[in-house]
Amino acid sequence: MLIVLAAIGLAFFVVPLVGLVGEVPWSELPVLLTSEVALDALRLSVIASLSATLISLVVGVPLAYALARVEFPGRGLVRGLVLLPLVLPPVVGGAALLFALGRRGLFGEPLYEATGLVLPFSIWGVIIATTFVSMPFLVITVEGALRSMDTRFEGAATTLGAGRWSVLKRVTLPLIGPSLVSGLILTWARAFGEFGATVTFAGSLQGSTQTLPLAVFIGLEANRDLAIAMSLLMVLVALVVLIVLRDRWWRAL
Amino acid sequence: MTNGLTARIVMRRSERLSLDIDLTIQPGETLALLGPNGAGKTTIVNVLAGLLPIDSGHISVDDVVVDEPSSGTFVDAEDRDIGVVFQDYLLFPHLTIVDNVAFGLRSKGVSRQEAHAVGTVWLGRVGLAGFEALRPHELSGGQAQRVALARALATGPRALLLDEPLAALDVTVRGELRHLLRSHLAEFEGPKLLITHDPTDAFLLGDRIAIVEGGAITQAGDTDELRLRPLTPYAADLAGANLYSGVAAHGRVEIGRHSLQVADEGIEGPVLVTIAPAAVAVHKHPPGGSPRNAWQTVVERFEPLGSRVRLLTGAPLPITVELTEDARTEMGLDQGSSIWVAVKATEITVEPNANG
Repeated sequence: MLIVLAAIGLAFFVVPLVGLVGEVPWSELPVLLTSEVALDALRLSVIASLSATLISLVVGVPLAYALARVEFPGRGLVRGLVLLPLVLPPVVGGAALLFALGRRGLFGEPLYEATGLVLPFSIWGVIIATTFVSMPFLVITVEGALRSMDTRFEGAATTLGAGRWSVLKRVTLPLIGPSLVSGLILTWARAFGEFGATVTFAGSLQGSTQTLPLAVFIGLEANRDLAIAMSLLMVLVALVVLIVLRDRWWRAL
Repeated sequence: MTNGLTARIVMRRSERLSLDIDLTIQPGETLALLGPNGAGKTTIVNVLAGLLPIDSGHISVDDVVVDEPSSGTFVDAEDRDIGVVFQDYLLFPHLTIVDNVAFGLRSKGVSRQEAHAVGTVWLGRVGLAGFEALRPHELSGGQAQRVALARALATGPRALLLDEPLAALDVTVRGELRHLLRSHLAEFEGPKLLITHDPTDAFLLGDRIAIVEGGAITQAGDTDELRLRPLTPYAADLAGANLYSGVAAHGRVEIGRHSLQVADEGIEGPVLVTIAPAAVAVHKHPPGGSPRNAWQTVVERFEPLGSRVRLLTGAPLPITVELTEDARTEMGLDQGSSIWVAVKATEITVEPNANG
């Protein structure tokens, strides 16, 4: 009984993959994957997902640190806000970004008037939307690690003459290292597959905002073989990442 | 103020964390702070090290005030220069052993190469030459303790705090480590504070002993004072214990020219023997039955202890005995009385002792 249920569970993952692979036009694959649409989309996806991961690292880790270590009023509320994108439909997130940062938006309008910069429907829009949906993964992973680590190690480092930065660099970050890397992987994976918030906030313009998932979605209508080829590409990228990082980092998740 | 470490530590955080303690430790002196778990001993380490501010009072090391709320003085732990051997050692798990020992020197701006060289020397001094590249999880408890000691001493701190340094070790290595600790403590010239709940450690490593209970020092003094005149039941239980070093073989321990039968027949070589004063029976005449350890002796001194009384006997094996005042009156014991004392083998605690 258990095995039957497990097999049904596994089928959820295997069946779609088999369906996809069965449709792949193998002989045309090289041509399809080197087409301008595919290369543009791949380039945008890589840039956007890595940018989102980097931004999350720079601002998300301090945010996680504050949530884990600093007592301040409304901390529960702040944590809720950070986790919101995990629950919120990405389309709603994208719409919210549009209202806030669109050219007529609450913050977007003064920004446009001051600098002429328009965030939506540009690569900045893609990066902002992607960061919005993916950063929570880093924040919760790192916050959890900071909460569960033994803070006495930091105290011990202090008695050995290490200042605040030195403790952070030489003790805290190395001790949460595995969780930090896991968090970065999850963040990147979420960013790489991001669709809803991006399409709402940044649209789907080939060469400037059309990432791989968007190109696949459009391609299903316009060029089915191309969509399948790009889907296969995403599956391969995901598999490579999973396999490369399997032994070192998944254990910490 | 004097050189060394002086502190008046007052903490009023909560029922559980409430302290009011005076400490003075001379340069080169080891004060053993003996107390039950939950007496606030680790808090004392944390405030002296600078990891926690005191609520009122003052702490100074070598005439420098490092914490005094009334004058707004607080020197951070990183600038206090106080070496700490923490309970369960807290070796950095992500660093090699030599990097652990070199950590403090690196924090002080010493180059990596030089810090490693000093770290290697210190590892040699604690008997761990060749362990440089290992990680903490590859060490036994005793080895980790040695690394923790080397790490605390490598920076040349002004004072040394040891929080239950031997508590986590099993009996077989405790004696050896105590010996190592004793020789390193003897070499260290600053004030030393040893926190422990084990009277054996306090007696063997401390120059003076202070007993802390319920956030206050209930008694301080040298071993003999505490043994004969304990002021609280806790002090009577712990500090009053009879402690001997001897040599064990075939279920017997030779202490000087006296021999005791012990329950542990497997133990061999140098040992420490502890006997609780209340476990010693006193008789006017040779005891019947079969207490194998019985000998005749003379009452040398009396110390009243509430409704109980402690008496110190003379040769062949001076031993402190505790009995009720009623029993003493009944037997008509006085200074100079001739008595028999008896101890059951099962009441004698024996543990290996590398000091012997």
